[in-house]
Amino acid sequence: MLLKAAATALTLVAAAAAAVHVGGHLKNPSAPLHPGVLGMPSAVSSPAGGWLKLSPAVRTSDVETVTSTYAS
Amino acid sequence: MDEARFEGFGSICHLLGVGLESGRLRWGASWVAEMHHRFSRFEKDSEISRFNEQAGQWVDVSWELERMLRTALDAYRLTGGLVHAGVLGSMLAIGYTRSLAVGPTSAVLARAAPAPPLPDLLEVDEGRALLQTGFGIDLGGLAKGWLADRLAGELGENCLVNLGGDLFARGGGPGGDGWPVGLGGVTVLLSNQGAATSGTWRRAWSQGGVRLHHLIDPRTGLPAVSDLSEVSVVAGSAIDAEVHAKAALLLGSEKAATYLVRHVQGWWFAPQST
Repeated sequence: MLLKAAATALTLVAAAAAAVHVGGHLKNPSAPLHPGVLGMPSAVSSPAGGWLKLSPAVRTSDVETVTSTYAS
Repeated sequence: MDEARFEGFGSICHLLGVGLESGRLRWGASWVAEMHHRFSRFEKDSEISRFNEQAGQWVDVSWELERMLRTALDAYRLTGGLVHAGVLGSMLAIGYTRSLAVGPTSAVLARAAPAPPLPDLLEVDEGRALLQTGFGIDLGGLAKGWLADRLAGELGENCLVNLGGDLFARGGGPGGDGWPVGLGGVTVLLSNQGAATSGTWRRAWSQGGVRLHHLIDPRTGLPAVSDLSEVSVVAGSAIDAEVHAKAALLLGSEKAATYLVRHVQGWWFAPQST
């Protein structure tokens, strides 16, 4: 009987401790955890004016362009 | 490398390909022309014009229109309502009633109003859709982005489809390391990526000293006021780039960077002063 009571008490204490630990380490939804953020360097001044920011997924080159994106 | 340049969707379209089968670019250009006739609101008999005319009742729609309307609803949700295909009323109120090659008509700004949520106006079911009476859909850039992705998927394994600035680059391009595309004054190499630009300085005009342009802010129903004149974006598809570029421009520079970092692979901002 004493052993059962001790086991129950130990389980309850462990559950309570786990709840306190998890509650104290909630995920911050605004934390910059996205891969795009981790790989995104700071914006740089663009030759065309304004600001340019490219992730490693977008490489630059000195090759002549074949077409452009533009507002239409 | 083969290429074809032609007019479509009120702008210049550009198709490029490496190692394509003979006649593919000609086929692509005719496909774009067909899509223009089906989905331009300036074509009286287009599918989108007929859909708008039948507001208030369920209408049978083609697979393409169904997908574009679903894409419009997705874009609305993804951008928190900033990209809103149901602002045709405001477009007409500011005088954008016909192709700007012909010229705008007189604006009646009092008729421009904030748009209700798009899901309240538009329902899409399999093969049919319902638009509430008194509203209209303008697919605009959404159509160009969606169609660029579609055409690139059909044209060939190494091609680039640019429909008025909304583009998708498929394959390795002429050098094998990506298609060299101009964006924000630099050359970027795109491979299986999309790009698009949203801006307020083209398709713009003045009336009575008031500057008007085509980019409607659904929160006001009026041409957007932003500290950015142009935003270019690189994303996984042309439609994603189109949607996020427009949302960023509407958000303005302070919020746009935080927004874009979650959604895209790169961007260029131009402030109003440049």
